[in-house]
Amino acid sequence: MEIDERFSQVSAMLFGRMLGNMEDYCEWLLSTAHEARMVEKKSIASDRKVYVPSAKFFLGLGSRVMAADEALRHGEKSISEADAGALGLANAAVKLSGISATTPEIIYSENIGTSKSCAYGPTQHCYRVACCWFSKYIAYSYWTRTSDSLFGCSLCTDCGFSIKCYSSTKLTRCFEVNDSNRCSDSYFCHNCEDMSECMFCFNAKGKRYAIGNVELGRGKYMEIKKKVLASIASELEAKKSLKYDIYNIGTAAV
Amino acid sequence: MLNKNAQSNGLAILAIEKAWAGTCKAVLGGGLPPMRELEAYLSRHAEACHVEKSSISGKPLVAFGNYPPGTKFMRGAEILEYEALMRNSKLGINDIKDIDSAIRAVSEIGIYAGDIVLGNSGNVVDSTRVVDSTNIFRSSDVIYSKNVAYTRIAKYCESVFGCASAGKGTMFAIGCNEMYMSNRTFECFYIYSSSDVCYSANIENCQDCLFSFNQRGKRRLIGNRELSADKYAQLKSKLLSEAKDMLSSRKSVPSIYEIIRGD
Repeated sequence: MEIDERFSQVSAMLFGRMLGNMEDYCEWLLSTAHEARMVEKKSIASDRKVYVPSAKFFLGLGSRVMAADEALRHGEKSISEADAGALGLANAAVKLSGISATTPEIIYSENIGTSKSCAYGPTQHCYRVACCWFSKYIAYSYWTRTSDSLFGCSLCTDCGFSIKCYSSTKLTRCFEVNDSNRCSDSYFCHNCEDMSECMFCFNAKGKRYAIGNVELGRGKYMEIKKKVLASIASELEAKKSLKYDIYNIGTAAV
Repeated sequence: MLNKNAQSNGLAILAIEKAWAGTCKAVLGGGLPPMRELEAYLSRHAEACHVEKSSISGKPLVAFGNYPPGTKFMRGAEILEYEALMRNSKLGINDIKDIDSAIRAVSEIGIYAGDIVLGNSGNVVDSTRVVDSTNIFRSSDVIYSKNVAYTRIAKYCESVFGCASAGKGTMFAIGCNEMYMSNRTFECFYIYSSSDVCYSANIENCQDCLFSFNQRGKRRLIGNRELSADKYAQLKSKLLSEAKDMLSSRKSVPSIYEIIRGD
């Protein structure tokens, strides 16, 4: 699939090594984007699979789900006028049971090569995404908008070529960044703005070549970055996972 | 300072309660209890924020995310105090040889921000990740919106309460999820470009729908059946007054999901 190839390219951009088969990393990618985890359900109208994301307001639908086209056909059924007159909150679940099953599949506009997803459009080559709008090459992600090439991300807008980033806007080539805005080529950063080439920065703005909020200069930064990325890539290749994420590094050394 | 903060929070809550009363009037005809009396009901659809304590000031703050126990937090507004604190920290940059040593070297600076309020925002109480928004209470990820409470993810919205994933143009919504360009909605899931919809799901380009599902371009539906204007108005008034009475007496009503699941 095109998305696999893109995952390899983005991993090479971020870690200097192509990580290989994306599916091997799915548990790691979903570990901090839990709402993107798809629960597979069987349609009550056919044998088709329906993908329901793990966000609370989707899971609430329970098992009475069906595919989008099946739901529209199901919508042709109605209750009688007499039943409508007798409806109340106490008996609604029973009286409406013949018409109330619905779909989590919200498919908007034109989509090319997007699969095993729910609530999306227009998209190209997305895989296992939920609430993904105006985006391409997104996988294992939740609520992404106007973005390109994201993996294991949630709540990212105008972002690209990033892995495991959350609640951020305008990130490019970032890894494990959350609550941030306009950052590029940065790793393990929280609540940062206008940063480039930074690692392990917290609550900082406008820095470049910084580690731990301290600007080091290009030479020193690149020397350390090379060592850190090599160890990240080795752990990922060996374990298909990394024990650190942006949420746990604050307590990891304690 | 504390009094000033308490006073401004009080004014903010007053503004949000006023917006809640207006929304209740627009959606259910008014006469509902104050918003905070219905907190349990309004909190049931959106993943909740958690309240933490600032390691800098000891003041409470709101954060969202899978942070492990022992995580240190600070309020978004405490950035200057954080910077002063960090000036004295000693980073072992020269000891970094790999990811493990890097994390040890920077462990002192790892304080996470809650109560993040950015841009031109005002009257924000117990909320985080709020950008260019006004009158926001116990919510997260709110952008370009006003009058939002007990909600997760709202963009370009006005007067949404107890909602999740409220998209552009959602106005006057109570207990609704996955919305877009819709007005006056109550207990709904997936409503796009529609108005005056209650207890319904998968509705696009419709007006005046109650207990209806999987519909496109329809109006005056109850249980997917199209009714005359008089009949619809009569049944709508009966059903909404039942919902209003139940919200007042039991502080809750059955959710749209209970009806879909047939609970």
